[in-house]
Amino acid sequence: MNRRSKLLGIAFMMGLCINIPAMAAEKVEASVVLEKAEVIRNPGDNYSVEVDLSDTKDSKTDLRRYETFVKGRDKALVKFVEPASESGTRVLMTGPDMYVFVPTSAKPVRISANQKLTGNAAYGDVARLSFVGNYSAKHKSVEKVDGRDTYVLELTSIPERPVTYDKIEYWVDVKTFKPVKAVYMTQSGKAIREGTFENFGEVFGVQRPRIFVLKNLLRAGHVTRLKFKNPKQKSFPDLMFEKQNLGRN
Amino acid sequence: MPVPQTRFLTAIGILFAGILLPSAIGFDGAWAKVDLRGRASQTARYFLEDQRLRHQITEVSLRQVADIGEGMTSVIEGRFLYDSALFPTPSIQFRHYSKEVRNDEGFEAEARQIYVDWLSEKWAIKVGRIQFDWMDSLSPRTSDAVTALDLRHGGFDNPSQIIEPVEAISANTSVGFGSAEFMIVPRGRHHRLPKGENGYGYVERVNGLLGGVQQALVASGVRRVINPALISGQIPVDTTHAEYGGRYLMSASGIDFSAFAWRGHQRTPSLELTFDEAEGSSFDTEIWDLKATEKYPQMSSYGVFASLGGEASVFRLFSLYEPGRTPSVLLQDELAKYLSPALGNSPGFLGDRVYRSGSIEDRLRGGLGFDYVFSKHLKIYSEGYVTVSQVTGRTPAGDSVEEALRDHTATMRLTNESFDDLFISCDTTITGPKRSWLISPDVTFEWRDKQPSANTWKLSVGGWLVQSESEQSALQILRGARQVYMRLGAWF
Repeated sequence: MNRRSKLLGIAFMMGLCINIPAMAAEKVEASVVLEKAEVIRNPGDNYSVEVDLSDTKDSKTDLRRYETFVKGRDKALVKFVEPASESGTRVLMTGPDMYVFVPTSAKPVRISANQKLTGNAAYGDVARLSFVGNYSAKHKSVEKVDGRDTYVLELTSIPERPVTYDKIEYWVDVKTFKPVKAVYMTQSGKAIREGTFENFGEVFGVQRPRIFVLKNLLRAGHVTRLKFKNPKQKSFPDLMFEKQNLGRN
Repeated sequence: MPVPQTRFLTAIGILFAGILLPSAIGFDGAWAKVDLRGRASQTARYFLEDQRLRHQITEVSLRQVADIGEGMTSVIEGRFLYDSALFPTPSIQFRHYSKEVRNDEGFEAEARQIYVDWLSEKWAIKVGRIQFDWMDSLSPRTSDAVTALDLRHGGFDNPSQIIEPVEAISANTSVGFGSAEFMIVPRGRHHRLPKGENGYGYVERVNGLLGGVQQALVASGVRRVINPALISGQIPVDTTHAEYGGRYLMSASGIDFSAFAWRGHQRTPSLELTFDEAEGSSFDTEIWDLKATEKYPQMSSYGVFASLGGEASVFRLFSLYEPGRTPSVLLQDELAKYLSPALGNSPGFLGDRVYRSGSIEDRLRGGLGFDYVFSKHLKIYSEGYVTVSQVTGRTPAGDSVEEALRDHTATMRLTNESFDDLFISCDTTITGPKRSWLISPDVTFEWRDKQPSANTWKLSVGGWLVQSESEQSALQILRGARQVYMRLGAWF
């Protein structure tokens, strides 16, 4: 072995010694970062919240209102409040299954997971289902966003979970663990939407984002804004999240 | 007092009583959250054959939902219908509407739902007048035993518009890996059919049957005055005719599974044809009544459903078993004796399978459905099922018969949402073996002020085209329903 090879070998071993704990720490850290960010993004496992949605496209804005009920990490019920023509419509997400109840149909109907809501937003966005338990996380990099250091996590959907997007890049503030933004991607890795978390304020004793803005990356000028208000912590009966009770009021 | 007025006052009374219910009960939380919604629409339907207006329906619906306590909600929903085409002007005689149709369809006010809903940790209970549909399929028509439908206009409309409400108690609780639901309906309802010829074929079919029998009697040498009549039947209201059932629902590994058993009545009438001497008949002038009496025999129904959802698709399977049904047309022995020379041993008569009284039909139906979302530009919803009926009984000639009949139905719905305010759909249904098909396109344009609480307006234009190769087709109630419609609706 010549001198150059020896040096390379030593350098490799040193790098390995340095990187093994760092890689191990990163692996744990990614899930911890995600946990901490989601504790801030989500008001909890059992709560209800009203959602005002405004969808702006070609300078025209469409306003809608929903009420969402969340139980645990994989059950959510979205009630349509406004406009009047859609009032009474319900969407239930339970595990990987999704059902819709339209008052005119008089019974719940199973729908496929990629049935969208309106504009850029999907049912999963309105229900604000937790990423924890639905996505696996790993570190991608550390970046500066608006002067803040942020972890960039790469989230990959776990099969059979109630998720809207296959992959997500998730920016989380290094110091505060506040969610900063997320880029939503298809299975192939094509970025389709970018979401930013804004208007942080105290909700259930924690500073949480109260506005979520989704930009369509494939169509300039198409922006959907979700405003979360009147959150209430409450445990709801399991029967409320059963398909046959979807039409109940 | 005329029946429509009585019905109207009853409905108004129920609605007002219901609206005052939260305060009357005295819940502290009454009126804490009350939501009142309404819809008004004007629908014009033209039959293509006649080239003139046949129905012009004004509809107003109101729905009030009030939180009246912890987990407890009251729901009151009323509907007012008025068909101005049936208004008794001199021109009405040119539209061929009988008085029965005008009484039945001219004006109607009805409490469509009025119930109290209680949801607790262990139980979900509904008490009152409700609409329900346990069939996990595209169309509520798949079963002819559980849910009664309003088929006066051929059954064309949203399910909530055509499902007949029933007074019921429903209880749902978690059991094992799923949940069980039980329901009792003290007073069952049957399908609502037009009381006179209104362009949709039921009365035309019955009249054709009676007229055909009358001709066959004459051809058989019966020389009497024959009075044909359709006698409307009802489901008896007593404890032995109360309807009840239960179902179990569960989800495992992304598959939904449900099974139900229901003790109820046939919703489509079985016509019992009788031929008896009429009152006032004399030796000189024999007058006989030829009656088609609508009957709704008791029966049991068992259903099993499964569905699986994917990223872009939903797959459904179902099976329905209905033993002990009564065939759609039965002949009284006396009448059969007169008719058998004309009919021979064939049970077919004017498009109907005809058997003697006492014959039984066991029906097994199996189907599958597949929905696929390509994009907002194209979504497909489809379903198909095969029905096998085993009839055991006697032919009109009196011979024993045991025969299996089979028919099938396939339906597909295509939708397009390429444009923000425009919804385009087209339904196609094909039945067999005596083929008939139905195509129903619809284009709906929606507009509203882009404010959350603004009213919404929708204008729908569409049509229905029914083509039957045989009078024996499954769509015979829609016979001749080739029409276009236009509906303007407002939600507030």
